[in-house]
Amino acid sequence: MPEFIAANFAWFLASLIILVGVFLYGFADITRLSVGRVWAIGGVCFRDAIRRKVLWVTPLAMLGVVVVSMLQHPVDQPDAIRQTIKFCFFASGLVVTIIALIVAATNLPRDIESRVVFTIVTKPVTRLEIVLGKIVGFARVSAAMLLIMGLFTWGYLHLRAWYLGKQISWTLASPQLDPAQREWLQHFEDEGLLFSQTIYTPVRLAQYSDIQNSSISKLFILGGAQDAIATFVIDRSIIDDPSLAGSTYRLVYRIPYQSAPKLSPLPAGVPEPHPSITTVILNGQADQTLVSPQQLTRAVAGTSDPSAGIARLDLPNPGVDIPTGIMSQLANIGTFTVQMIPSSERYLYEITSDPVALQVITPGPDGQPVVRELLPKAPPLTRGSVGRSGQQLRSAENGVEPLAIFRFLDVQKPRTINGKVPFELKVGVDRSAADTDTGDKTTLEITVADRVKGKHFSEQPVLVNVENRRTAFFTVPAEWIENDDFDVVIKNRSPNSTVGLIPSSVLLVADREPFVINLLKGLGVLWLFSLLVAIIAFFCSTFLSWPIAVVLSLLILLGRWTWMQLDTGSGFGAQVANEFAGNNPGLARVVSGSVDALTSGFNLITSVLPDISPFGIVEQIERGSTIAWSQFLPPLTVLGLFGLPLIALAYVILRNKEVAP
Amino acid sequence: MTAATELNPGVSDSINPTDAAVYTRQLTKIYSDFWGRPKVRALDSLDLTIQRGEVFGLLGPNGSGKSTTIKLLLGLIFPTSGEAYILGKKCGATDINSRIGFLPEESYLYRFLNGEETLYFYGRLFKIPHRDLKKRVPLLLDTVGLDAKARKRKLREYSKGMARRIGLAQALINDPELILLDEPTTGLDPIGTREMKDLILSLKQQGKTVILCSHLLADVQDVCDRITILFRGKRQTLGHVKDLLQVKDITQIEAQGLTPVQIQELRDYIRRMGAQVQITHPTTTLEDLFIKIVRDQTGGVGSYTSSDA
Ligand SMILES: Nc1ncnc2c1ncn2[C@@H]1O[C@H](COP(=O)(O)OP(=O)(O)OP(=O)(O)O)[C@@H](O)[C@H]1O
Ligand SMILES: [Mg+2]
Repeated sequence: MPEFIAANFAWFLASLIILVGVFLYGFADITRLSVGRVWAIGGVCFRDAIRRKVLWVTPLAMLGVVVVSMLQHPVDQPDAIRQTIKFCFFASGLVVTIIALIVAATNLPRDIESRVVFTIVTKPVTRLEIVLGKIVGFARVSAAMLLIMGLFTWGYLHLRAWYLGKQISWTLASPQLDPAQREWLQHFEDEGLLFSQTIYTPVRLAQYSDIQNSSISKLFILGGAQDAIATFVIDRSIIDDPSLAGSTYRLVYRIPYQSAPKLSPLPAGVPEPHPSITTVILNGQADQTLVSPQQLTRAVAGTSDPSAGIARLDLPNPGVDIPTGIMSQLANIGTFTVQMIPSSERYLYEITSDPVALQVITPGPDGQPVVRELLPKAPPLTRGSVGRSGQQLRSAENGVEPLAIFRFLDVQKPRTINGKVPFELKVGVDRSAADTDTGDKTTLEITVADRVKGKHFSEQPVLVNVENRRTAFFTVPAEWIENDDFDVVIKNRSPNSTVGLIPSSVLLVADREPFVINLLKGLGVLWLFSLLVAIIAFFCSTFLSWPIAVVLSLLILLGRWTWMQLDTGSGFGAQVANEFAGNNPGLARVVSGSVDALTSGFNLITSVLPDISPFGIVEQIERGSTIAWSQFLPPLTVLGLFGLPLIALAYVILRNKEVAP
Repeated sequence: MTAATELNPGVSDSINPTDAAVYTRQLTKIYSDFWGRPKVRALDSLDLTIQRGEVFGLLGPNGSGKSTTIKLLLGLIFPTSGEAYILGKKCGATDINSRIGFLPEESYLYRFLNGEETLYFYGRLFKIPHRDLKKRVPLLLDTVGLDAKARKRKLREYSKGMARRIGLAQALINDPELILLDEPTTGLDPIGTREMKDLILSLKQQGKTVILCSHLLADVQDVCDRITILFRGKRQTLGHVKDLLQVKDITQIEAQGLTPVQIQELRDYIRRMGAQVQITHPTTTLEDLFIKIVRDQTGGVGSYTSSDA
């Protein structure tokens, strides 16, 4: 397959089906297409569904929402309203999907079974009009259901918000309220419980260590607290090329290190640790271990590392050797990530743009080895070591202060309140055990670095108290973020706590709009989803009995998602081969090859299945973040890419089908 | 050919398919099972030409392929072999449907619509403007004899005869040139049957072509110009009703109040010359003809409904 077609396989297939199915095969029917007839067929289809009392599930769903929200255990009023929003949307989505599925899968089979279709196809109605009419009918059914559920959601949420708002006022009136709690509730007292905001999320989160009072132009990571990763892209030629026969493979590090500036004395008898790097090889996405440190060997023997045999590299030794067998597997996979884990919080390691290289060392003709070097495809990324709730940010220790950098790009003119820009902050907090009862606050220090001007506004940092997994609010002066690209820099000021961060821990609240608009947008996305479901189910029902059509529709809808959950990235074959035939290269090659062939087959199938993730908006509405109009584009794309070809196929099938039962 | 030989088929086979209301040649339909294996030969090499303006009867015992023929003509099912034209177009072309009316075996309509809504719905499928429908719908409902109360009731509540009537109205909504009626009188009361026959004759007077499937032979005899009798998917006979029912080699003389002596005298008299006597061709009833054909085929025993592929 040519590269271009392979890359846009789904688009290509979709256009081909539509072109051939409708515009070539059904050209005459296109010219005869009548909106009036389509609408008439849609009308009886809608009435048929209504007569089957499908709308009666809506009161049931409402009852479910009310009961479940009575039984919920919210931590406070804002949490209660969020949970209620979630229930409402979940219930709406569920009923509209199930009804769309069943109505669309049964409609045509019922028409054929009852032979009403005899009196329809003997009228001047084309099969294209029948297909489109039915889909219009299903769309009307879903719209009616969503309208009812939407009205209920709106009414019920306002009722809840009114009641919970009252509770907040009472709580605030109580004098012995914890100040953090007061600050939190006051925010909702001021802003209301139902809102929708436009939110900017950082494009990425990095961490490194700042030697206090020094410039941040040099990138250091702190031993035991942070690491660096760098991704290599290679191919089989480095193994198979005959000119490289007999090569050995080595990761070499160029990582300068220094002692932390203010070292606390070690207890008596404990020797000063060595600065060292532990190497782990991860997959391309850096979320799975491919090679553990035990599988690598130290490049140079004779160091003082006590755990001999483990490829812990005492700097400044050159690196670790990768055994040829492992290298061969990595070459099969093609992409891998080297994770450099530095040891001991008593050292700082400087991460330059090329901290690591892969050397291919080939014995030369004159006995002198020839060394070829491969560099990572991009500069390394530095991170906090990953804990339960994300990258862990420690407080200053030994004169070294770790920094978390949230990078924002393309932030267009955010809303300001009194010359300040509002942010939301939500982190995980781990307090050291001894400290849990003391009620010590966890305080974060926030500054902003303007990346365009190269200026760090660090003179008057903003201090925020945070609690575990609860949204906190802070504002920064508007002049800190005059440019579209900037970094929010966070430090941990609490010695007894570790803070867990994920990229969306810091959010910029750019704009607000009424909740009802967001609600309508959410219902709109649900409606598009129900349309996709109906089209799939209708398509299946053109050639299958309805129960089987329902099952197949579910498979089509969930197939891609399920396959993604199985998480078979590139190199899955090599991984399987590793487990089944680790020390038999021949067998490993066969296993890896066939698993990869199977995987790519499934990948091809799932690549033509619809991706339903763009329809997932509940969390966003629940969080109160505004659904951008541009967010309609991905669902519409899925609908176009998948729904239109299926309509074309349903039409072709129906034209060639004897409609007599 | 079988016992009932083809007596004046009425129309020559060399007719141009585009002139006829219906034209089929070697039309065959074999129903297959799920695996594509032939199951029933429902229609076998049917040659049929129906002129415009005719009332044509399609007769045959149960399971002889009448409904199959009609479904083939309407493109509801596709022929296994052979070809069929309707109003000069290949069967299955949707645009020709605007000139056709079809009353199926049973009234297959949306049961949740009422009589009026049903007609409006089908009217819209013909793109008949709402203004015209407003006039035509009550008129049609009058024609088929559904009163004001019945029009507002859901079809679900209709009696069999009422359903038949609304089905007929639906077939006439577009003022069709060609009307296919699959057993139109089943379920109708005697008055309804009478009205149906009158309606068919009036359609004929308006120059429309009517194709009628039935085994109620009296009906067929009264209204049809020509008939064909199908048996086990094969055409057994085709011709004008009058001709088919004539028995030509026998002459019957009718007279009243004759004594045997006088009859003898009459014989003598006729032998010399004729006066005051009526000489006609006697007719059998269609029923006799029908039964004779079926008997001849089955040898008078056994089941006649099933047929093998
Ligand atoms: N969908 C089908 N699948 C298989 N066989 C069928 C199907 N429809 C009809 N047949 C068979 O085709 C033959 C002709 O059926 P058809 O309905 O045309 O008879 P008919 O002349 O209309 O009979 P009736 O007077 O009972 O209405 C019958 O043997 C019937 O069993
Ligand atoms: Mg029949």
